[in-house]
Formats: sequence, structure tokens, C-alpha cells
Amino acid sequence: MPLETLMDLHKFCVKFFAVDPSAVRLDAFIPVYHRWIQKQAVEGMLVDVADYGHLPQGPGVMLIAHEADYGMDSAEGPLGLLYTRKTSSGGRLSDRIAGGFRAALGACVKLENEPEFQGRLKFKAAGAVFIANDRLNAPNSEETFQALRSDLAAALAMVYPSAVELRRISTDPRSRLTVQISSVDPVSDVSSLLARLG
Amino acid sequence: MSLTWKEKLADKVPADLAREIEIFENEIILRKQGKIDEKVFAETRLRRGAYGQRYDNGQRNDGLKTQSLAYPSADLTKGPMTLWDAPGMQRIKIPYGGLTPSQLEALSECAEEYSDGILHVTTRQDIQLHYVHIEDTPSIFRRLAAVGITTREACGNTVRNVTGCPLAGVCSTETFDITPYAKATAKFLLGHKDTQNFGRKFKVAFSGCAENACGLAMLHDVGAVARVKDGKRGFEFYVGGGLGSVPNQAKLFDAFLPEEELLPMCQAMSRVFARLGEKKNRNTARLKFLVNKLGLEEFRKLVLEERKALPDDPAWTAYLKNLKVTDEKPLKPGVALNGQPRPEGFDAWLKTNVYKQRQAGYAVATVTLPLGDFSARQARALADVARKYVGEPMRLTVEQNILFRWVSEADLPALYGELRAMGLGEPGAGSIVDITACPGTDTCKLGISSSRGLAGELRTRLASRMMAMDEAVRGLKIKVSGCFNSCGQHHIADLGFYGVSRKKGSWAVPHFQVLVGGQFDHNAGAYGLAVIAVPSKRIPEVVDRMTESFLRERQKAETFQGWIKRIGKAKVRAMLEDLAAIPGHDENPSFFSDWRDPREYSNGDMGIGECAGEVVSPLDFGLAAAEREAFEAQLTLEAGDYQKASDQAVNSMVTAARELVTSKTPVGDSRADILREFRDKFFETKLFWDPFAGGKFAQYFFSAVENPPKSPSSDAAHRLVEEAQLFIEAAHSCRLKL
Repeated sequence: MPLETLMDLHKFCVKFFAVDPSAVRLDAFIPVYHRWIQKQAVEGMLVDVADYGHLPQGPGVMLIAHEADYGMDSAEGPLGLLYTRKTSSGGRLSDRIAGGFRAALGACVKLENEPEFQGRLKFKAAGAVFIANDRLNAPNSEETFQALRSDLAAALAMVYPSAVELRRISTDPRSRLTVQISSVDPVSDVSSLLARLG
Repeated sequence: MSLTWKEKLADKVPADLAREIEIFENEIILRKQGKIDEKVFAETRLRRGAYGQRYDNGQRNDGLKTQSLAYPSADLTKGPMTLWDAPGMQRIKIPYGGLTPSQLEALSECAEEYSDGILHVTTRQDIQLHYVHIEDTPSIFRRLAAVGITTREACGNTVRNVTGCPLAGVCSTETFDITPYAKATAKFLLGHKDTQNFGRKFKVAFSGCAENACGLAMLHDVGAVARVKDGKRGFEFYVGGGLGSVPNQAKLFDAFLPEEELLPMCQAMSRVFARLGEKKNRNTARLKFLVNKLGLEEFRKLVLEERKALPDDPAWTAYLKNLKVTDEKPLKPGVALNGQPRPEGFDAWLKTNVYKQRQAGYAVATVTLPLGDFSARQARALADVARKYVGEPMRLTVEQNILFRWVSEADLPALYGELRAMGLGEPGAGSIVDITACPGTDTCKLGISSSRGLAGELRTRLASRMMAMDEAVRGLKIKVSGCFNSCGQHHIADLGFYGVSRKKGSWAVPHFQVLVGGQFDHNAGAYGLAVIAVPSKRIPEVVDRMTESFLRERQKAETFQGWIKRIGKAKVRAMLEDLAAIPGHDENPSFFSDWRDPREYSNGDMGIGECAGEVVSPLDFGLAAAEREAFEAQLTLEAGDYQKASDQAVNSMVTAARELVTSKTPVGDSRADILREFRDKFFETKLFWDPFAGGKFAQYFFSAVENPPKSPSSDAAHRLVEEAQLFIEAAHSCRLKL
């Protein structure tokens, strides 16, 4: 069933989880993100680093940009890279979602290769989470989930080499619509996914 | 088809708020079209709680160079030097800190969709969201208005959030429940025509009793402390208190103001403040300056005359007919804690985070929020827990925590278990680890040093040994501000810190001034004074050394304050003097960056000069001398010689000014010459001006030299010593520019 307001969904999140959250300390992300600002190392207009490492189950350490935030987050499940798109990137919804995955995967690969984390930080490639961060245009309902499926599947076809399963995580209407994405076949690493997106 | 919150919430937002929000939405459009002046728009948004944030001028030092932040809106501004697309802070007033689960849920949704997912509790019982885009604010306002929250007058020259004891109604020492009075005052003054023409903000606080500090009445423009006289309710009514750069203890306006006079007296005071308060110079525009200028007697006379002339308003007393409107009905019967299984960690939490209500079988549980932060998800979980255990009532505290009231004691273990599961079950509420901190350099434009970075570091270090600490140390309060403006309330801590900077060679070094002698109890009964500036990275050693010395030297049940008073500030300074030394950059580069921020420290866009090294200029020596003189003034003040303390404070300012002048042109010891040259070369040129305080600190100097105090009171001498310290701090900042 189509849900017209979904066309206006521009704010969303993508999360890739760390394989071993205990292998890294949140503090270590602070200098890395500052360096990224100095070198303009990821896309977007990079503004600042926000440190919430003191808060258990919080958003951790965040790189704030005008268009999107990159956080090492523990609020939305176990530790992982949470990409939060804040502004419109234009185009069709499936393209916007694919763009979000490209940015999130780019950050994951870059983090894995930073000297502070080499060999210790790995992201799980076979699964991810998508969150519609807009309760007005994408309320957390079965109707929205079904309406979102086609665009999400189209975007994920660009990301994953084989089929994926989609599962709505919570039915609490106060929560954001959150979808667990699981690749049916194993995926070796986030670099291979990024390579598919070009 | 596009849907908007305006359409979706059309029947849920009260008509008056809907209209206000619509007006603001139109003002946004007009500003984008260039049809509203940027200054006018700035005050407009401030009056709706939409504040600026660090780097919103489009410049940010990344540690290597100053980068320009090229926002898409280019040159469009939302205020002077404030770019349109730059993220801002949204302050949300929560009168007397009273919050319902539905409100918490709405706040959590706004934090997730428009902010960085964090809700921050302030020292005045507000909630702040950071990294908010100005064009999202109307949606935020509507979603909050739908659950009974307005952000109107959260900032700007208005009546700010009305605060109150979070234990009101359940406290065992209160005279009566101040909640309905705080609520009525907030409602009456909000948008009132007599409160729209202030030169500066106006803060009101209520306290249920004189001894305990929950309301902090003494540090507000208006402080009302509950009193009963001859069986009739009223208030001890204080005026002219305030922290800020120069703190002022409120003065007793009326020992007993009958309850029916509360609102008309606030109105009369508002009229006098609007009519006679300073409008041009915002640095002297708070009510405390008007009270000091007129004298309490004259101020009282004018307010009472105004009161007599006020036309009757039924709203003054209408609420008194239903004071029970704010009474809370417990969800469950009060059952004593007795024999329930206790989860691991429960006993420590019980000891520090639970307060026994005066109503039998009930307790208040404090949710300790690290640095006042909690996530949107945690907010929703807290709303669920509130509904499950207490029904509606929650309160935010001035110590940046959340209280659940009316918890049946028997439910405490289960409640603790749920808080722990969401990461918010830490013990230590109100203790040395429960550190208050303002946003500082994290997000505030005025921040000099990283108050949150320091607070986080201290918290981590102290938490691991908290339960093993002596009770006398565990109960101490630490409060940190990123600058002299005291949003972290450093003046009323046992150990207070505020951010300053110093120079080593050509490098800037983040520091904190160490304040001792402050008092949180008795509604903020005494303000601390700075004893020495120490590099940020050595503040943990300051805390360790001070607490260890206190334990070693205290006599019997002597308090920390009592110990400081007995040994004197000179000894405190001597105890810490070696920690003030700054190692060379090559020796220990970590001193040249702030806590949890690896960038080379900078308090501006100052580059790294060629003359790095250990050469100390005559100017640096001169400023050190001025600082020493200011400290001597403190000691004299402590000894009770107010005239001499004032003279020394003035001398210290003259010394600092002379040294600055000498760096540009020879000048003798004549005060008139120094004053003239300083005015000419540093004030008129704005070289000495603070980017945000303007010429305020120079004015302290001019005033002190041109009108030296004669037979000053304790308060006046205290103020002058504070001003001297701030003037010298400003001289240090100016020195960085030379």
C-alpha cells in the first residue's frame, strides 16, 4: 500500500554494528574525528565533535556535520557506526537511502583503517539497521513498513550482492520505524559492500 | 502530499500558542527575505528559546588552522555574526522542573529528530537540545505545545524559567509546598505586558525552607522562601541576587510577604525594573545593579509606590482558591522497604540516591544523569518507569538530575533494577561525583575552557573510589563553569572552577580558577572566591590535594567550609602554588590541549608565533604582580578590613592597566596618566574588549579609580575584589592579542 508522505522522508539513520564492541575505547574516536575535520576526510560540511562518552547507552562520540552526523553509538543497540542524515539529498527515496548507506559504509571503512583501530575495529557487514527519523512522514506502523519495503529493497539491492531479509524491530508507536536488515548470504566485510556502491 | 505538524496537531495546540508559533514561522520567512533586521530577529528567536551555539559565526579552529564553515545559506544570518544554517541550541523552560511522562516523550522525539539525540538538564531546571536548525524550531514548538510546554521567554530579556525546590510537597523540612505558587507566578508573568521591556533577564526562584538549598533563592533576581506567620502563609522575599561574573547575594526585601501579595509585588517590581533598569549597557542591566544603584530602601519605596498604583487584577489571587491543583496523587500505596531481594549495587544507590518523604512509606529516587545528559531512548524508558511506579510526577533538579517522587519504598529495588538496565542506575546523587557543569567550550560561544571535559574526567576518577571515601569528602560539591559567567554555579560549590586561559611563551594554555569558600546550603548562603589559576590538566591533582589535606587536618566534625575559613586562603593558595606551573610545550604537550579535545588549545584564531620558548616578558611579570595584589585583597577581605581590601583591589587593577599601557608606551605611576592612556590605547581601540562582554571589565577599572570606595560594606568590598579579579583575567586575555 503506497504511503504518499514517505516521499518526504529525508531524515533517516543507518547503523552498522561493531564485531567486538569491547575492542575499542570511545575516547579513541575523539582525535580521529578531529583529524577528519582537519582533513575534510568524509563527505559533508564538518562542524564539530560532540562527546557523550560519559553516558552509558548513549550516542557516544559524534562527528557533527551540516548534512549528517556520524556517531559511535550505543543508544540504538550495541556499539556501532550510526549515520544520521539530517538534510535532503534530493532524488528518489531509494537513491537517498542508497546514498546514506554509501556514506555510512565509507565511514566504517575509514574507521577500520585508522591507525588507532587497525586490526581491532571491524564492522559486521551482513546486517544493518535502518531508522526512519521522521514520525510525521514515516510513523512507526505496519502500513509505513510495508510502504517503505520497495524503496528500501531497491536501495539494498545496490548494497548487498544477494537477497536481504527485512524485519520491523519495535511496534511501539512512540519509537521510530526501525528495520533490521539481514543478508541471506554471508558478506565478508564492509569494504566489499562499499565497492558495490562505487 | 506533504503533511505538516501544524496540520497534524491543529486540534492539540492551544490557540494562543498556535498563533505565537505561526507568527514566529512568518518571521523566519521574512528574515530569509531580508525584511526583518538581524538584530530584531535575534531577540525574537531568543525570546522563544532559540539560542546561538559555538562556531555559528562560520569560523572554527581545527587545531591547525581556522576553517571557514561554508554553510549553504551563505551570508544569511539569524543575528549579528550568527549564520542561518549554523546549528543552535534550543532551551525549553520546565517551570519548577515539573515534568510528566507525556512531556518527556515529546521532548525525546524532538531530541531524536531535530537534535543530536541528547536531552541536557540545566542548572535552572530547563532542558536544552543542541545542534538544532532554526527552521526546525516551529515544529519543535508545536510538538511541545501539544503537551503543554512553551519555550516562550526561555532566553532573551524576559522572565526566565521560574525554578523551585524539586522536593516541594514531599520534603520533611519545608514550611509548605511552594509548587502552586511557582506555577502561578510562571503563568502570571509569562508574556505579561509589564515584563516585555526589560534591559536584561529576570530570574525567579522558590524555596520551601531557609536551610536546604534545593531552591537556591539567594542567587536569583527574586527569591521567595516559604514562611508562615500567625498561621498565615507568605514568603521571605529577597531581591537582587545573581551569579554571573560578579555574584551578588540577594537582599531581604520583605521578611513576610503575604501570599496574596506575591503576584502583585512581582508585577510592581517588574514595572520598576522595566522603567529604571539599565537598557544600554547590558553588563549592568540585571536587577542587582539597579538595587545596588538605588539602595535597597529607595528600591523598596519605589516598588511599594508602584504596588499601590497597580489596578486590581483578579489573577493575583484566583489561584489561591485552588492550591491543591498541583497536589500529586500517589499511584501505589506506600509500603516500607522490608526484606525484598536487593539487586547488586542497590545498597550504595539507596544510600545516596533515595530520600525518605515525609509521607510514610514513600521515597524520592534520584536518577543521576552524567553531566545532566540523557538520551532520547532513555527519556522514553524513564517515562515508562514513571508510569509504572509513580504515575505522573517527575522533577528536574538544579543539580541536573531527575527525581521520581512518590515511589513506594517496597518498589525501590525493582525501580533500581530498571534504571540500571537503561544505564542510569549510578549511585552518588548530590555527592562529589555528581558534578555540575555548564556546556562550556563544547557548545557555548562564551566558553574558555572545557567544563564538561573536566567534569567528565573528575567524575571518572572519583566514581571508582567514591564508596571508599570518607563521608566528609563524599558529600562535597564540585561545580564547573567554562568561563566567569557562572552557568555551572561555581560560586556556590565547595570546590568551584571556572575556565580562564594563560600564556606560556607564545602558546595559550587552558586553565581553571580554583574557588573555595562557597556554600550550597542555606539557599546558596555564601559565594566562593578564586584563589589561584591552575592548568586544566592539573585540576584533578587540585581536587586530590585539597580533599586529602582536609581529611588530614580537619578538627572533629569540621566542615570543608569551616576548614577553609580556619586555615585561610593564603594557605590554600600556598598548598596549590606548585600546581600552577606550566611545563614547556616540548616537555608535556598535553597541557596545551583541553580535556577530551586533542586540538592545540586556542581561545581565538591566534597563530603560533616564532618566539616559542621560556622567555617571560615584563608584561607577564606585571600581570602576575597584579594577580598577587588581587589575592592580597582577598586575604584582607577575609580578615574583615573592607576599606583596605577595596584599596588593594583597586591597586591591583591599576597595576594590570599600567603594565598593559607600558607594553605600548612609557607611563609613570600617576593614576590619572594610566587611566588616560589605558582609555586611549586599550578601551577606545576596543583592544581590551571581551568579544561578548564588550567593555564591561574596563568599566570596572574606570569606576574603581574614578570613584574609589569610602567605608565600603562587606558586599561592596567583596564585589570590588571580584571585579579586580575579572579585570586581571581580561588583561590576560588582552595580553594574548598583543
